[in-house]
Amino acid sequence: MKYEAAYKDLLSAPVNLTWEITKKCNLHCSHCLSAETIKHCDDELSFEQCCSFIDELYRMSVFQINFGGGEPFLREDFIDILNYTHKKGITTCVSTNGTTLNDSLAKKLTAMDLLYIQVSLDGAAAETNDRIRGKGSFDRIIKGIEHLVNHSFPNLSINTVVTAINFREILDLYELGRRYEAKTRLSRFRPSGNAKKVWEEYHLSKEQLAELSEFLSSHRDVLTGDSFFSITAQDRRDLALNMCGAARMTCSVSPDGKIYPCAFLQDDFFISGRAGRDSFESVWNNAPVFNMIRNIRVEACETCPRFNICHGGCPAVAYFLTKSLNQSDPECMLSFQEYLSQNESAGIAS
Amino acid sequence: MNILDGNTFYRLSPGVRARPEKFGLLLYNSKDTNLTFIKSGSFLTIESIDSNESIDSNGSIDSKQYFLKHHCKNSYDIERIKRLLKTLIKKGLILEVRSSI
Repeated sequence: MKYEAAYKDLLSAPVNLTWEITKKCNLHCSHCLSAETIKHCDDELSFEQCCSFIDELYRMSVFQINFGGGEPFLREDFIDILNYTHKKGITTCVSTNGTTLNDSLAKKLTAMDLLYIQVSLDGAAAETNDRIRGKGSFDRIIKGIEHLVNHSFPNLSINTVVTAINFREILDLYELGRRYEAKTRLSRFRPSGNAKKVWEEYHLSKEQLAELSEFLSSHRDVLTGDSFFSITAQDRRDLALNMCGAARMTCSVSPDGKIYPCAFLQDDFFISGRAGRDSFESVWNNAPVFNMIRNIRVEACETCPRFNICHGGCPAVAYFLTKSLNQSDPECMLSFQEYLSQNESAGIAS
Repeated sequence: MNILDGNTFYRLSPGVRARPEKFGLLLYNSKDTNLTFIKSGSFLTIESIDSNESIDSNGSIDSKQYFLKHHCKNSYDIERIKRLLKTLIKKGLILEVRSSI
Protein backbone atom coordinates (compact mmCIF):
# COMPACT_ATOMS: atom_id res chain seq x y z
CA MET A 1 0.00 0.00 0.00
CA LYS A 2 1.51 3.26 -1.06
CA TYR A 3 0.64 6.62 -2.54
CA GLU A 4 0.97 6.85 -6.27
CA ALA A 5 -1.11 7.82 -9.22
CA ALA A 6 -3.35 4.95 -10.20
CA TYR A 7 -4.70 6.36 -13.42
CA LYS A 8 -4.42 3.13 -15.31
CA ASP A 9 -7.52 1.70 -13.65
CA LEU A 10 -10.84 2.96 -14.93
CA LEU A 11 -12.30 5.07 -12.14
CA SER A 12 -15.88 4.40 -11.08
CA ALA A 13 -16.71 8.02 -11.97
CA PRO A 14 -14.91 11.12 -13.13
CA VAL A 15 -13.07 13.10 -10.48
CA ASN A 16 -14.44 16.28 -12.01
CA LEU A 17 -16.59 17.30 -14.90
CA THR A 18 -16.49 20.46 -16.99
CA TRP A 19 -19.99 21.75 -17.60
CA GLU A 20 -20.66 24.62 -19.95
CA ILE A 21 -23.81 25.67 -18.20
CA THR A 22 -24.92 28.42 -20.60
CA LYS A 23 -24.41 29.51 -24.16
CA LYS A 24 -24.90 33.18 -23.26
CA CYS A 25 -21.78 35.30 -23.35
CA ASN A 26 -21.09 39.03 -23.33
CA LEU A 27 -17.56 38.77 -24.78
CA HIS A 28 -16.33 37.48 -28.13
CA CYS A 29 -12.86 36.17 -27.36
CA SER A 30 -10.87 35.38 -30.45
CA HIS A 31 -9.57 32.08 -29.04
CA CYS A 32 -12.82 30.85 -27.45
CA LEU A 33 -12.81 27.11 -27.03
CA SER A 34 -16.60 26.87 -26.85
CA ALA A 35 -17.73 29.33 -29.51
CA GLU A 36 -18.49 26.72 -32.18
CA THR A 37 -20.28 24.29 -29.87
CA ILE A 38 -22.37 27.08 -28.44
CA LYS A 39 -23.33 28.36 -31.88
CA HIS A 40 -24.81 24.98 -32.78
CA CYS A 41 -26.33 24.31 -29.37
CA ASP A 42 -29.99 23.40 -28.81
CA ASP A 43 -31.85 24.81 -25.81
CA GLU A 44 -29.96 24.88 -22.51
CA LEU A 45 -30.87 22.27 -19.92
CA SER A 46 -33.62 23.56 -17.62
CA PHE A 47 -33.00 24.09 -13.90
CA GLU A 48 -34.87 20.85 -13.15
CA GLN A 49 -32.77 18.94 -15.69
CA CYS A 50 -29.60 20.44 -14.20
CA CYS A 51 -30.63 19.35 -10.69
CA SER A 52 -31.46 15.88 -11.88
CA PHE A 53 -28.04 15.60 -13.55
CA ILE A 54 -26.33 16.88 -10.38
CA ASP A 55 -28.24 14.19 -8.43
CA GLU A 56 -26.74 11.61 -10.77
CA LEU A 57 -23.23 12.99 -10.29
CA TYR A 58 -23.77 12.97 -6.53
CA ARG A 59 -24.83 9.30 -6.61
CA MET A 60 -21.65 8.47 -8.50
CA SER A 61 -19.52 10.46 -6.01
CA VAL A 62 -18.17 12.94 -8.54
CA PHE A 63 -16.08 15.30 -6.42
CA GLN A 64 -16.04 18.51 -8.42
CA ILE A 65 -17.90 20.32 -11.18
CA ASN A 66 -16.08 22.99 -13.19
CA PHE A 67 -18.72 25.37 -14.48
CA GLY A 68 -17.99 27.41 -17.57
CA GLY A 69 -19.84 28.60 -20.61
CA GLY A 70 -20.47 31.07 -22.18
CA GLU A 71 -20.38 33.26 -19.15
CA PRO A 72 -21.98 31.27 -16.31
CA PHE A 73 -23.10 34.30 -14.31
CA LEU A 74 -25.30 35.38 -17.23
CA ARG A 75 -27.52 32.39 -16.59
CA GLU A 76 -30.28 33.70 -14.32
CA ASP A 77 -30.59 30.60 -12.15
CA PHE A 78 -26.83 29.99 -11.88
CA ILE A 79 -26.62 30.88 -8.18
CA ASP A 80 -29.42 28.40 -7.51
CA ILE A 81 -27.50 25.75 -9.47
CA LEU A 82 -24.37 26.48 -7.42
CA ASN A 83 -26.32 26.27 -4.16
CA TYR A 84 -27.89 22.99 -5.21
CA THR A 85 -24.49 21.54 -6.12
CA HIS A 86 -22.93 22.63 -2.82
CA LYS A 87 -25.83 21.14 -0.86
CA LYS A 88 -24.84 17.81 -2.37
CA GLY A 89 -21.32 18.35 -1.01
CA ILE A 90 -19.85 18.73 -4.51
CA THR A 91 -17.08 21.31 -4.89
CA THR A 92 -17.44 23.78 -7.75
CA CYS A 93 -14.97 25.81 -9.74
CA VAL A 94 -16.46 28.58 -11.84
CA SER A 95 -14.59 29.88 -14.84
CA THR A 96 -15.80 33.43 -15.46
CA ASN A 97 -14.75 36.36 -17.59
CA GLY A 98 -15.22 38.49 -14.46
CA THR A 99 -17.13 41.28 -16.18
CA THR A 100 -20.45 40.55 -14.47
CA LEU A 101 -19.05 40.44 -10.94
CA ASN A 102 -20.28 43.22 -8.69
CA ASP A 103 -20.22 43.93 -4.98
CA SER A 104 -23.38 42.06 -4.03
CA LEU A 105 -22.57 39.02 -6.17
CA ALA A 106 -19.02 38.91 -4.75
CA LYS A 107 -20.48 38.96 -1.23
CA LYS A 108 -22.82 36.08 -2.04
CA LEU A 109 -20.02 34.04 -3.59
CA THR A 110 -17.68 34.61 -0.66
CA ALA A 111 -20.23 32.93 1.61
CA MET A 112 -19.98 29.68 -0.40
CA ASP A 113 -17.38 27.40 1.20
CA LEU A 114 -17.11 24.89 -1.62
CA LEU A 115 -16.57 27.42 -4.39
CA TYR A 116 -13.42 28.18 -6.37
CA ILE A 117 -13.39 30.95 -8.96
CA GLN A 118 -11.01 31.43 -11.84
CA VAL A 119 -11.20 34.71 -13.68
CA SER A 120 -9.89 34.77 -17.24
CA LEU A 121 -7.40 37.49 -18.09
CA ASP A 122 -5.27 37.27 -21.21
CA GLY A 123 -2.74 40.01 -20.72
CA ALA A 124 -1.11 42.08 -17.98
CA ALA A 125 -1.49 45.11 -20.23
CA ALA A 126 -4.95 46.28 -21.28
CA GLU A 127 -3.93 46.43 -24.93
CA THR A 128 -2.81 42.80 -24.98
CA ASN A 129 -5.84 41.45 -23.15
CA ASP A 130 -8.29 43.53 -25.17
CA ARG A 131 -6.81 42.32 -28.44
CA ILE A 132 -7.88 38.81 -27.45
CA ARG A 133 -10.95 39.35 -25.25
CA GLY A 134 -12.38 42.55 -26.72
CA LYS A 135 -12.07 46.29 -26.30
CA GLY A 136 -12.55 47.58 -22.76
CA SER A 137 -12.62 44.09 -21.25
CA PHE A 138 -9.36 44.49 -19.26
CA ASP A 139 -10.75 47.23 -17.02
CA ARG A 140 -14.00 45.34 -16.46
CA ILE A 141 -12.15 42.13 -15.61
CA ILE A 142 -9.87 43.89 -13.12
CA LYS A 143 -12.93 45.51 -11.48
CA GLY A 144 -14.49 42.07 -11.17
CA ILE A 145 -11.34 40.67 -9.55
CA GLU A 146 -11.28 43.62 -7.15
CA HIS A 147 -14.88 42.98 -6.06
CA LEU A 148 -13.86 39.46 -5.04
CA VAL A 149 -10.66 40.67 -3.37
CA ASN A 150 -12.59 43.37 -1.43
CA HIS A 151 -14.68 40.59 0.09
CA SER A 152 -11.58 38.45 0.74
CA PHE A 153 -12.84 35.69 -1.50
CA PRO A 154 -10.43 32.90 -0.56
CA ASN A 155 -10.20 30.57 -3.57
CA LEU A 156 -9.39 32.90 -6.41
CA SER A 157 -7.18 32.22 -9.39
CA ILE A 158 -6.46 34.29 -12.47
CA ASN A 159 -6.34 32.17 -15.58
CA THR A 160 -4.41 33.00 -18.72
CA VAL A 161 -4.42 31.05 -21.96
CA VAL A 162 -0.79 31.33 -22.99
CA THR A 163 -0.45 32.54 -26.57
CA ALA A 164 2.22 34.21 -28.67
CA ILE A 165 0.27 37.45 -28.10
CA ASN A 166 0.63 37.50 -24.30
CA PHE A 167 3.72 35.32 -23.88
CA ARG A 168 6.01 38.20 -22.87
CA GLU A 169 3.60 39.18 -20.06
CA ILE A 170 3.50 35.91 -18.16
CA LEU A 171 5.76 37.17 -15.39
CA ASP A 172 3.73 40.39 -15.12
CA LEU A 173 0.53 38.33 -14.92
CA TYR A 174 2.11 36.25 -12.18
CA GLU A 175 2.98 39.42 -10.25
CA LEU A 176 -0.48 40.86 -10.83
CA GLY A 177 -1.91 37.67 -9.31
CA ARG A 178 0.36 38.02 -6.28
CA ARG A 179 -0.78 41.63 -5.75
CA TYR A 180 -4.36 40.36 -5.49
CA GLU A 181 -3.32 37.30 -3.46
CA ALA A 182 -4.75 35.19 -6.25
CA LYS A 183 -3.15 32.08 -7.67
CA THR A 184 -1.88 32.23 -11.23
CA ARG A 185 -3.20 29.55 -13.54
CA LEU A 186 -1.75 29.09 -16.99
CA SER A 187 -3.71 27.17 -19.59
CA ARG A 188 -2.59 25.71 -22.83
CA PHE A 189 -3.78 27.26 -26.08
CA ARG A 190 -5.28 24.37 -28.05
CA PRO A 191 -6.71 24.39 -31.57
CA SER A 192 -10.35 23.76 -30.55
CA GLY A 193 -13.37 25.97 -31.28
CA ASN A 194 -12.50 29.49 -32.45
CA ALA A 195 -8.87 28.81 -31.61
CA LYS A 196 -8.56 26.88 -34.87
CA LYS A 197 -9.05 30.15 -36.75
CA VAL A 198 -6.23 31.97 -34.95
CA TRP A 199 -3.93 29.00 -34.41
CA GLU A 200 -1.21 30.18 -36.78
CA GLU A 201 -1.08 33.62 -35.20
CA TYR A 202 -1.46 32.60 -31.55
CA HIS A 203 0.34 29.30 -31.00
CA LEU A 204 3.69 29.33 -29.24
CA SER A 205 6.91 28.82 -31.13
CA LYS A 206 9.25 26.01 -30.09
CA GLU A 207 11.53 28.57 -28.42
CA GLN A 208 8.57 29.95 -26.44
CA LEU A 209 7.48 26.45 -25.40
CA ALA A 210 11.00 25.80 -24.10
CA GLU A 211 10.96 29.09 -22.20
CA LEU A 212 7.52 28.36 -20.78
CA SER A 213 8.69 24.97 -19.57
CA GLU A 214 11.56 26.67 -17.72
CA PHE A 215 9.21 29.31 -16.28
CA LEU A 216 6.94 26.59 -14.91
CA SER A 217 9.89 24.81 -13.33
CA SER A 218 10.98 27.97 -11.55
CA HIS A 219 7.42 28.92 -10.46
CA ARG A 220 6.06 25.82 -8.79
CA ASP A 221 3.11 27.74 -7.34
CA VAL A 222 1.68 28.37 -10.81
CA LEU A 223 -1.30 26.12 -11.44
CA THR A 224 -1.54 24.31 -14.75
CA GLY A 225 -4.16 21.59 -14.18
CA ASP A 226 -4.10 19.28 -17.16
CA SER A 227 -2.55 21.79 -19.52
CA PHE A 228 1.15 21.33 -19.83
CA PHE A 229 2.05 17.71 -19.14
CA SER A 230 3.53 17.49 -22.65
CA ILE A 231 6.16 20.09 -21.73
CA THR A 232 6.42 19.44 -18.00
CA ALA A 233 9.94 18.95 -16.76
CA GLN A 234 10.72 16.15 -14.33
CA ASP A 235 10.82 18.61 -11.42
CA ARG A 236 7.11 19.50 -11.80
CA ARG A 237 5.70 16.08 -12.46
CA ASP A 238 4.24 15.80 -8.97
CA LEU A 239 2.31 19.07 -9.33
CA ALA A 240 -0.25 18.25 -12.00
CA LEU A 241 -1.59 15.48 -14.19
CA ASN A 242 1.04 13.53 -16.09
CA MET A 243 -1.29 12.25 -18.75
CA CYS A 244 -4.47 13.06 -20.58
CA GLY A 245 -7.45 12.89 -18.21
CA ALA A 246 -10.12 12.72 -20.92
CA ALA A 247 -12.63 9.95 -20.15
CA ARG A 248 -10.34 8.78 -17.35
CA MET A 249 -10.51 11.56 -14.78
CA THR A 250 -12.85 14.04 -16.41
CA CYS A 251 -15.32 14.69 -19.20
CA SER A 252 -17.36 17.59 -20.48
CA VAL A 253 -21.00 18.60 -20.93
CA SER A 254 -22.32 21.31 -23.27
CA PRO A 255 -25.18 23.71 -22.37
CA ASP A 256 -27.71 21.44 -24.10
CA GLY A 257 -26.38 18.35 -22.32
CA LYS A 258 -24.14 16.75 -24.94
CA ILE A 259 -21.45 14.70 -23.23
CA TYR A 260 -17.89 14.73 -24.58
CA PRO A 261 -14.73 13.03 -23.26
CA CYS A 262 -13.07 16.41 -22.78
CA ALA A 263 -13.83 20.11 -23.19
CA PHE A 264 -11.16 20.24 -25.90
CA LEU A 265 -12.73 17.42 -27.92
CA GLN A 266 -16.03 19.14 -28.66
CA ASP A 267 -16.52 17.82 -32.14
CA ASP A 268 -19.63 15.94 -33.31
CA PHE A 269 -17.54 12.82 -33.71
CA PHE A 270 -16.96 12.72 -29.92
CA ILE A 271 -20.56 13.15 -28.72
CA SER A 272 -21.01 10.23 -26.33
CA GLY A 273 -24.44 10.78 -24.84
CA ARG A 274 -26.83 13.39 -23.57
CA ALA A 275 -27.40 14.52 -19.98
CA GLY A 276 -31.10 14.40 -19.20
CA ARG A 277 -31.69 11.63 -21.74
CA ASP A 278 -29.00 9.02 -21.12
CA SER A 279 -27.74 7.52 -17.89
CA PHE A 280 -24.46 9.27 -17.15
CA GLU A 281 -23.15 6.20 -15.36
CA SER A 282 -23.74 4.18 -18.50
CA VAL A 283 -22.03 6.80 -20.68
CA TRP A 284 -19.02 6.84 -18.35
CA ASN A 285 -18.70 3.07 -18.26
CA ASN A 286 -19.75 2.06 -21.76
CA ALA A 287 -19.73 4.87 -24.32
CA PRO A 288 -17.71 3.61 -27.32
CA VAL A 289 -16.06 7.01 -27.77
CA PHE A 290 -14.94 7.05 -24.13
CA ASN A 291 -13.50 3.55 -24.48
CA MET A 292 -11.75 4.55 -27.68
CA ILE A 293 -10.11 7.53 -25.95
CA ARG A 294 -9.06 5.30 -23.04
CA ASN A 295 -7.44 2.88 -25.45
CA ILE A 296 -5.45 5.40 -27.45
CA ARG A 297 -1.91 4.14 -27.93
CA VAL A 298 0.61 6.61 -29.19
CA GLU A 299 3.04 3.95 -30.32
CA ALA A 300 5.58 6.45 -31.60
CA CYS A 301 5.99 7.70 -28.04
CA GLU A 302 6.21 4.43 -26.17
CA THR A 303 9.96 4.13 -26.39
CA CYS A 304 10.50 7.79 -25.49
CA PRO A 305 12.34 8.41 -22.18
CA ARG A 306 9.63 10.95 -21.30
CA PHE A 307 6.73 8.55 -21.87
CA ASN A 308 5.97 8.17 -18.16
CA ILE A 309 5.81 11.95 -17.80
CA CYS A 310 3.36 12.73 -20.60
CA HIS A 311 2.07 9.44 -22.12
CA GLY A 312 2.02 10.93 -25.60
CA GLY A 313 0.56 14.32 -24.70
CA CYS A 314 -2.81 15.84 -25.53
CA PRO A 315 -4.91 13.85 -28.04
CA ALA A 316 -7.07 16.93 -28.74
CA VAL A 317 -4.09 18.89 -30.05
CA ALA A 318 -2.97 15.88 -32.09
CA TYR A 319 -6.51 15.36 -33.44
CA PHE A 320 -7.10 18.94 -34.56
CA LEU A 321 -3.63 19.37 -36.04
CA THR A 322 -3.06 15.94 -37.58
CA LYS A 323 -6.61 14.51 -37.81
CA SER A 324 -5.44 11.48 -35.87
CA LEU A 325 -5.75 10.59 -32.20
CA ASN A 326 -2.83 8.19 -32.27
CA GLN A 327 -0.23 10.80 -33.09
CA SER A 328 2.31 12.32 -30.73
CA ASP A 329 1.41 15.70 -29.36
CA PRO A 330 2.92 18.10 -31.94
CA GLU A 331 4.03 20.41 -29.10
CA CYS A 332 5.92 17.71 -27.29
CA MET A 333 8.88 18.80 -25.17
CA LEU A 334 11.28 16.34 -26.74
CA SER A 335 10.49 17.50 -30.27
CA PHE A 336 11.25 21.15 -29.46
CA GLN A 337 14.36 20.20 -27.49
CA GLU A 338 15.65 18.30 -30.51
CA TYR A 339 14.74 21.19 -32.79
CA LEU A 340 16.51 23.70 -30.56
CA SER A 341 19.64 21.61 -30.14
CA GLN A 342 19.84 21.05 -33.92
CA ASN A 343 19.55 24.80 -34.47
CA GLU A 344 22.14 25.44 -31.80
CA SER A 345 24.64 23.05 -33.35
CA ALA A 346 23.94 24.61 -36.77
CA GLY A 347 24.67 28.02 -35.25
CA ILE A 348 21.15 29.34 -35.79
CA ALA A 349 20.19 31.91 -33.19
CA SER A 350 16.71 31.50 -31.69
CA MET B 1 -16.38 1.90 11.97
CA ASN B 2 -13.91 -0.29 13.77
CA ILE B 3 -11.02 -0.14 16.15
CA LEU B 4 -7.46 -0.87 15.20
CA ASP B 5 -5.79 -0.11 18.42
CA GLY B 6 -7.76 -0.28 21.64
CA ASN B 7 -10.07 2.70 21.55
CA THR B 8 -8.91 4.60 18.48
CA PHE B 9 -11.08 5.38 15.44
CA TYR B 10 -10.14 7.09 12.21
CA ARG B 11 -12.55 9.44 10.49
CA LEU B 12 -12.28 11.57 7.39
CA SER B 13 -11.33 15.17 8.11
CA PRO B 14 -13.97 17.82 7.39
CA GLY B 15 -13.97 18.64 3.68
CA VAL B 16 -12.46 15.31 2.69
CA ARG B 17 -14.51 12.95 0.54
CA ALA B 18 -13.67 9.38 -0.35
CA ARG B 19 -14.92 6.75 -2.71
CA PRO B 20 -14.00 3.13 -3.27
CA GLU B 21 -12.12 2.26 -6.44
CA LYS B 22 -10.63 -0.97 -7.78
CA PHE B 23 -7.21 -0.05 -6.42
CA GLY B 24 -8.48 0.95 -2.96
CA LEU B 25 -9.72 4.39 -1.95
CA LEU B 26 -9.67 7.70 -3.76
CA LEU B 27 -9.65 10.72 -1.46
CA TYR B 28 -10.50 14.28 -2.49
CA ASN B 29 -9.80 17.27 -0.30
CA SER B 30 -12.16 20.15 -1.00
CA LYS B 31 -9.78 22.54 0.80
CA ASP B 32 -7.19 22.29 -1.98
CA THR B 33 -8.92 20.00 -4.57
CA ASN B 34 -6.01 17.56 -4.29
CA LEU B 35 -6.48 13.85 -4.83
CA THR B 36 -4.88 11.01 -2.91
CA PHE B 37 -4.84 7.52 -4.36
CA ILE B 38 -4.61 4.89 -1.65
CA LYS B 39 -3.64 1.55 -3.09
CA SER B 40 -5.12 -0.45 -0.27
CA GLY B 41 -7.09 -2.99 -2.31
CA SER B 42 -9.94 -4.28 -0.22
CA PHE B 43 -8.14 -3.77 3.11
CA LEU B 44 -9.79 -0.42 3.83
CA THR B 45 -13.39 0.66 3.31
CA ILE B 46 -15.44 3.67 4.31
CA GLU B 47 -18.37 3.42 6.65
CA SER B 48 -20.77 6.20 7.53
CA ILE B 49 -22.73 6.93 10.65
CA ASP B 50 -25.42 9.54 11.14
CA SER B 51 -24.31 12.65 12.91
CA ASN B 52 -25.91 15.91 13.93
CA GLU B 53 -22.74 17.92 13.96
CA SER B 54 -21.53 17.78 10.40
CA ILE B 55 -24.12 19.93 8.66
CA ASP B 56 -21.75 22.57 7.41
CA SER B 57 -22.14 26.22 6.50
CA ASN B 58 -23.19 25.24 2.98
CA GLY B 59 -26.20 23.53 4.47
CA SER B 60 -24.87 20.27 3.09
CA ILE B 61 -27.42 17.51 3.23
CA ASP B 62 -24.67 15.06 4.03
CA SER B 63 -25.12 14.79 7.77
CA LYS B 64 -22.96 11.72 8.12
CA GLN B 65 -19.47 11.17 9.45
CA TYR B 66 -17.22 8.82 7.57
CA PHE B 67 -14.92 6.33 9.26
CA LEU B 68 -12.29 4.04 7.85
CA LYS B 69 -12.88 0.36 8.41
CA HIS B 70 -10.15 -2.20 7.97
CA HIS B 71 -10.49 -5.81 6.85
CA CYS B 72 -7.05 -7.12 7.72
CA LYS B 73 -6.74 -10.75 8.63
CA ASN B 74 -3.28 -10.76 10.20
CA SER B 75 -0.98 -8.61 12.29
CA TYR B 76 1.38 -7.93 9.36
CA ASP B 77 -1.39 -6.25 7.36
CA ILE B 78 -2.62 -4.39 10.44
CA GLU B 79 0.85 -2.90 10.92
CA ARG B 80 0.92 -1.79 7.28
CA ILE B 81 -2.51 -0.19 7.65
CA LYS B 82 -1.37 1.61 10.79
CA ARG B 83 1.59 3.11 8.94
CA LEU B 84 -0.73 4.20 6.16
CA LEU B 85 -3.14 5.80 8.62
CA LYS B 86 -0.28 7.71 10.25
CA THR B 87 0.63 9.17 6.86
CA LEU B 88 -2.97 10.15 6.21
CA ILE B 89 -3.15 11.87 9.60
CA LYS B 90 0.04 13.75 8.82
CA LYS B 91 -1.46 14.91 5.52
CA GLY B 92 -4.57 16.12 7.38
CA LEU B 93 -6.87 13.78 5.48
CA ILE B 94 -8.12 11.80 8.47
CA LEU B 95 -8.51 12.46 12.18
CA GLU B 96 -7.72 10.14 15.01
CA VAL B 97 -10.66 9.91 17.40
CA ARG B 98 -10.23 8.38 20.82
CA SER B 99 -13.34 6.81 22.27
CA SER B 100 -14.10 7.07 25.96
CA ILE B 101 -16.16 3.88 25.85
